[in-house]
Amino acid sequence: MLSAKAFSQLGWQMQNVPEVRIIGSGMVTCLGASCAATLAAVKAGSRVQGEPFPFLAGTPYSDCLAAQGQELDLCGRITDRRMRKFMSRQAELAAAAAREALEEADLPARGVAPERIGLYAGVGLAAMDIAASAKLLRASLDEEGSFSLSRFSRDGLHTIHPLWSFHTLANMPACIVSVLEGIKGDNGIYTPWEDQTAFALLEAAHALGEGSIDAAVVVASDTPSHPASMVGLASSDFIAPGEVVAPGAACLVLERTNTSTTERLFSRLSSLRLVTSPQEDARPDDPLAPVIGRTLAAAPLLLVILAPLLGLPCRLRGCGKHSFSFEAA
Amino acid sequence: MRRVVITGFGIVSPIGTGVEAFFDALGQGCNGIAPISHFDASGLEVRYAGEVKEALSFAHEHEQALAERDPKVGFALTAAAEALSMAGVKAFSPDDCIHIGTSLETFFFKEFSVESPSECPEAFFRHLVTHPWRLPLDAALRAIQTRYGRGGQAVTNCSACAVGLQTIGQAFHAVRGGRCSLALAGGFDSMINPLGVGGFQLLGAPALGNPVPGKAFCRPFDASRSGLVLGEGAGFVVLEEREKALSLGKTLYAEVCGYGATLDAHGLSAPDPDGDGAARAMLAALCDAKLLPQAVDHINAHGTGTQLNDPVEAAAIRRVFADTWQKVPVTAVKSMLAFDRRCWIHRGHHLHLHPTARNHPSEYRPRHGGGWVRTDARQA
Repeated sequence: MLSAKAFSQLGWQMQNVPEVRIIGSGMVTCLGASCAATLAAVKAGSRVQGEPFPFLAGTPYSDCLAAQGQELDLCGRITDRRMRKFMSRQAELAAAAAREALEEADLPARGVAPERIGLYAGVGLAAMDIAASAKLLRASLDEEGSFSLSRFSRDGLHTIHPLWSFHTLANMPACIVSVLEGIKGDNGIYTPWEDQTAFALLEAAHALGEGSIDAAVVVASDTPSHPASMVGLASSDFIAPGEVVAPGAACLVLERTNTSTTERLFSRLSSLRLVTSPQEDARPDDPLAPVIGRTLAAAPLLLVILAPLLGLPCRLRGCGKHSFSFEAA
Repeated sequence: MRRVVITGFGIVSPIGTGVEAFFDALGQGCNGIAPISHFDASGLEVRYAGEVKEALSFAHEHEQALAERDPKVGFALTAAAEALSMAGVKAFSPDDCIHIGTSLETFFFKEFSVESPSECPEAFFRHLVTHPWRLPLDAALRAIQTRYGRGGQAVTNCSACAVGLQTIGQAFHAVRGGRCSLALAGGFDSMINPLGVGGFQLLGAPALGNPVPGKAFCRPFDASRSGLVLGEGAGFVVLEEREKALSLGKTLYAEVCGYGATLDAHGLSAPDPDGDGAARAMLAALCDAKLLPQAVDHINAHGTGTQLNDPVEAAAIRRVFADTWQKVPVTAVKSMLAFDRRCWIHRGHHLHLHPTARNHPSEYRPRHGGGWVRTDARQA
């Protein structure tokens, strides 16, 4: 249960927060396309394996690693083929995790109105479609191989799909989840690091406490192993040398315990704490990193689901200019 | 329940930077929309925008460099500085929160070159690692924290068109609920770069070509409206608990009474034609404020000037203000400033209604049945 006492530190206080229970959960990790698949893989001894990014060879960031393996097929979870055209990989992961969590929570069957369901999201750096971007760039180069604005306007722009920018808008993963799942209540979308996802979780708890919604869907998604994301991350202080970054998404469905009408109960949150830290020289610490890789914005929710099942501490620490610590129990 | 007031605000806009310059220009109905000058847009179909023309200056080199790299970070720093200065805030305390919002990352392609086009995209990514090509959306938040301290909650919201108001609403709830004692909230944006303008052109939402003589380029709620016009700038407020602000002798410019946010879950490229999401958001805000629609004296509309938005918004207004919509003035500031994701406020102590540039309410009202769209400035 969430307790006011747990939030008595440094700015991230929560007061008058009701008891909150998790009634649905979903995830996509590099080890599996669902909670069950990920857990089964971990129990069978699978762990994330890293491989170098070819384009980082010979740069100061050559020891950054991406999770190995084929992209998981999510067609079973995202059946709206028209909508898939709008979706970046980050949005696909978010939609798949949300579908699993909402299937488990079964809110419509229990009469929870869509207008009373809130949606809170944490998303990572936007990752554009590589093939489309490469096509755009090739058509925008002049004879010397330099980017030319006139070529971009005349030729480059016309090589890409009119909805291309939907892949780079940071709010799209949450918008797509809202449309696919018919969620119509209060909302907020935060970006781009782990602490922002933790904030989404806290904001959901506040909205439940203040009574503006009856159920909250908290979703997080990130694709740090996407080349377009990795080039942004490589020069940041977020990734430690040799660390493996991996795509991931997770979703929680929350209800106030005192008004919940379901016996379904995945888990409870007995405390949550998010604290900004002045220790900028601290190292990042994500206990899931050796198991499913660094999933950055997705990590706080994945941790809430997996930590108790794997016997790991539910504690996450960011570093550098963005240092913070997040704890849940 | 604690009451929440605005004790400072700051603005960077195409019609003026700074509160005084902005309100003077707004009252006069100045037009901030002009041919794009930030880059050569002659090859694009979208050639007009609301650009910030003033050169902003910064005391620190790293701030200047950030602002040159991504102008919207400079807008955010400037507007935040004005708002915090007006509120007498020199540094954040751990009890303060920062809720700011924006929309689209800026990608820098200009420096890109390859020996052979066939090297794309591998060479592209190699190039990008050593030539920073993107600033994360929280760059402005970090710049503000570097100047004023880390504070407590620090949030970058990316809810697109609603983001400016959403940051204020969520900060308002945080102050009202006692989760923080002071909040800096607001939005900032600039999409006037080749990829931003080109991307919107592909979506088909902006007004194309050149203005028709005698007509404003952006015409919200006008029967002949031709689309949105991209803009840029920043708008920030400082929110504080009323009693504490009074005890410190601060000037109270306005009070925030209620906030509501919804999703319409209708589609990605068009709003619910009934205006259901917008209507529920207005009702939620009224409910939060414990006010009836009759208490509302002015509506500041989204008013994008697009075929899809304006009738939907008009329908939502008529639905919520069923008994009063013909009496409540509606203004749409984008007619002068163009479209971005920041927020705009009015002087709370003396509400000033700005005009909606060269609008034609007579064409609008029968078709869409919305409120009275002001074409002239007046004091309310």
